[in-house]
Amino acid sequence: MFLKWYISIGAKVIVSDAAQLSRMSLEREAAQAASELGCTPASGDVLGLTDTEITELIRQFPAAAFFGDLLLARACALGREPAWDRFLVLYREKLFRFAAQIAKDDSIARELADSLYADLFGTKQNCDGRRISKLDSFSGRGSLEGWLRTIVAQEYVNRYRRERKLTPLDESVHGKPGVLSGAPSPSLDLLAKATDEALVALAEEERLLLSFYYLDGRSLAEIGRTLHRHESSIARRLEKILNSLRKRVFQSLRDAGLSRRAANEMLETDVRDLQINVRALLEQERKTEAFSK
Amino acid sequence: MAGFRQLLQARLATQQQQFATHPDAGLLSAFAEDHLRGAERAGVVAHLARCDECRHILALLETVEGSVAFLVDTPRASGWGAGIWRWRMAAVAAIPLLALLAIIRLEPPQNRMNAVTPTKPRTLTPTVVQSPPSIPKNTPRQQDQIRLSMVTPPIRRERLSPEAPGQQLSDVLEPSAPQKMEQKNLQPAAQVSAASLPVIQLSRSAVLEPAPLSSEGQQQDVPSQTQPPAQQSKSAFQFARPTFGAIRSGFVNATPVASVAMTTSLWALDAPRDDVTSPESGTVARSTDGGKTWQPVTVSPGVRFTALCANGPEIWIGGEMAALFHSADDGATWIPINVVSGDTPLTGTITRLISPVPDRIELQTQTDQRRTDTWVSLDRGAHWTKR
Repeated sequence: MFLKWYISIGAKVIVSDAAQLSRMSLEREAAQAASELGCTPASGDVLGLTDTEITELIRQFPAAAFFGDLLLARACALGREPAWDRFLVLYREKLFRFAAQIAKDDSIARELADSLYADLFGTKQNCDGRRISKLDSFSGRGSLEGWLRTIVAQEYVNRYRRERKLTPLDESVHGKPGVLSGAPSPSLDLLAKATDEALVALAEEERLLLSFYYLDGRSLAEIGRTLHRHESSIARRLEKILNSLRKRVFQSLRDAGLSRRAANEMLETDVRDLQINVRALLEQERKTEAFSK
Repeated sequence: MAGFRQLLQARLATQQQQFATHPDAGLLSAFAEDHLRGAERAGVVAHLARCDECRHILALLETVEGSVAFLVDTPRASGWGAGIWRWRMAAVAAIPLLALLAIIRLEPPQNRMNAVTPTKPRTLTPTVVQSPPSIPKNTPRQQDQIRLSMVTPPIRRERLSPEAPGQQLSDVLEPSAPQKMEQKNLQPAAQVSAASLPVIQLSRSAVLEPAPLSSEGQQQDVPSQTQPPAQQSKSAFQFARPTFGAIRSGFVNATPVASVAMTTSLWALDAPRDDVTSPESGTVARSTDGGKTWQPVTVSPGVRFTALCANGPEIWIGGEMAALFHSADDGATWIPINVVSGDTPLTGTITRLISPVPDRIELQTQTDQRRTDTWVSLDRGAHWTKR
């Protein structure tokens, strides 16, 4: 009897949830977000946006999770003074602080922040005479603050990369793990091939975990924060992936005709003996079209 | 395994790619804030797995104050309605858990204990309402006496049923630590003819001191017996203050009851307390109707009683200034007992009375806050030994 009652209650909640979701369409949700920011169509002049512009934004970005931030960014991109006043109050100082925390040098941070501020304001104009602002690319998927952090980090990495291109080749090569080449060995080639096959078979998220942990040297806690998982969960998953990979590589080696003992010994091979395919390294320059600007 | 990890590191490094395009800042920040789902998230993950540059950007974001991983909630989560909305599914999921918890809590604790102590010959269970028909109502105590020692049962309504003589109630009800602390202030055990036990509301610190049926099986009057009034002194005892349901009807209005003895009649003692000045304090009451009404019993005017026990028709009452009275006929007549061991007379206040068998009576006195003496008589109070 209790089970019946519980199922009926659960069903009612699920049905009402579905109904509620349909009622709260994305447009309404976006309008609600705008309303909470004081940016309803009736009060759109808060950011210098007209009712039509706000309605158009609601239609254009129905999936924006941060619609208030989107309105602010778009109003800034359109050059509306009230919006810029608000932006400066909210983010000008933060922008410099983000830069300082990333660059860890005040002068570099100031330069980075100023440069970015200029990009955000828009120093160039398009054919219509409208300023081209970096804020135009903000889509409201994440928060404006998070977006600003990200562009600061991106800009910093871009500058670092530009500087890195000027460093001697041998230094940059030595920075990569496992690029020491030794004498070619058929068995080591076999091991490398088996490992590559096993890695290719991994899910992307699993490969990302391995990259975070083994390539970037990030801690379990850091990975957990980035992926929004608990540290212990990350640890368990990594262990599972590692065991699975080892089994798969071991099986590949056995399939290639190696004895159990030989396969085990090969799995413990000193990585410096591995023949690294330089061609694969050079393939890094291969262009992909996963994300287009 | 270390070698294999190095191997993985090396092979992963070779598989890193240099991308011409990267996820824009909006996608990366949304990924960092966990706002991406489905194909979009999968695309970013696949890119990150092979792009050390974008992973480096994510790592840099971690170093920024108020990392993106802990940014503000989405607007959907804001507002009063949204708050309720968010918890509705959780509330539905919690219902069966709460129901299960409630069922467990509602189950009488003794039932649970019975389940884990099946070998015990006798249990005291509140669910058993009827006494076994095989036990005659007026059967003397020898078959089905149970000795109820000091216990502090939780507040509940229960009926005791006779199934195993001689079992300690404390064997069945394990008192909690605070309750154990209180035990030293509680009253001693007595024997009871359980077939005659009425329904009784136990309170937290009340002590059951059941007495057996009188051999006649009839209620008897309680004549008073004149005794020299004992000198009143301030009691050092701290009895708990239970609300004995039946007593509320008239005898001791909300005054503490330290012990109850049950025969054909119920016996109750209103134990004195330092912080309560009640005219009924230290007096004895009796109920012949299962606790509905109570009548005060004057054993010795002026004496404040502090301990009570019963074993069959034999009732023992002790009080301040070493006052001890004995009734061998369920309270019909009372005899003062002079407790002396050699040349040493009993002094102080009797705090406990125990009569495990009819001839044996043990008492404890407390002469000050620290010292407790035990006196034992093996011949119904004629001779005493101090221990």
